[in-house]
Amino acid sequence: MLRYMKKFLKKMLTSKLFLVTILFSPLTLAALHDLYSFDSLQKKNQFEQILYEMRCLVCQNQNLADSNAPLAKDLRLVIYQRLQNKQSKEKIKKYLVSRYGDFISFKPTFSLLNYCLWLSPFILLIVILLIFLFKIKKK
Amino acid sequence: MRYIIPLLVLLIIVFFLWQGLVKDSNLLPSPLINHAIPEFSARDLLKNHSILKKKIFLHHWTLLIVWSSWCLTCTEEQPFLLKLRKTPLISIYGLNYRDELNQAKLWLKKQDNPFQKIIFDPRGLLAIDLGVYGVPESYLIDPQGIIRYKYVGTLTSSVWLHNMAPIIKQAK
Repeated sequence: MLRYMKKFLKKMLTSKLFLVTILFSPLTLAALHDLYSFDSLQKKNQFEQILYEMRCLVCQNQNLADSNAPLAKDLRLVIYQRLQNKQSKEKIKKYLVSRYGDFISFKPTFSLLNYCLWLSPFILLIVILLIFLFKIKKK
Repeated sequence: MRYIIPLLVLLIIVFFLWQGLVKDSNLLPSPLINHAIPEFSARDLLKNHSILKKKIFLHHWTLLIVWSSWCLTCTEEQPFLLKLRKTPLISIYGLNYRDELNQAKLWLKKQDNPFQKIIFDPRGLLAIDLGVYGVPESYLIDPQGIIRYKYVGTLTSSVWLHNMAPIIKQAK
């Protein structure tokens, strides 16, 4: 009995498939039901980063890593293929924004319009404070 | 007189809050307006051996309808599209999105076919290149292959008359 176990163990440890799985498992990423494998850790990290920074447009409060939607699955595949074709993370994000707009990015680009939108509550607050101070001074 | 400034500030705030309520944040404005249709190569849904490319959009106005057999609201557009087919103004093309070939053909048989050409996009890759994120969606494309308008949702004669037809008229 022990002899068979030893034989089995030896066969498993020397099998290529087992070795490949063990050696390369840090380089595979499971996103929901899909498994993506990469040839470098850098690429795998880039893939993860892009997925976390891009919004799913169907389930709009989820990112592409968490979403179950078919569109998210398609976009993951497109991103994966572009990374395999050696496109940079910035280029891939730029492509997605060029097709879907700023909304797809969780980190929007800082254009003049975005600056105005972001700062408007603060500007309004300052204006109101100034008016308030002006009124107090008058008294 | 002293009430005018606070009133103005209030009106401005109310305007922005009202806009926040009225605008549907699920509807994304397309960044591809006034940009050219991207190059592509895809099968014709009905003509097995025919490959469709960007040039099918040139030299005439096109209404590109993104549809699927599994999309329930796409059937609501059909009566309008079948009526529109009679206009010489525009060609109606379909982009069959993430669908199965036989299901799509069956749907066309049941619902009637308003499309002069249908692009088969089973993996949704051309759709991504166009910024499609749901069905149904429609694109108005000019004779130079430039996207002039995009509508997300069921296309009605009202949207056609108020948003799309004026663009065509203006260009003439």
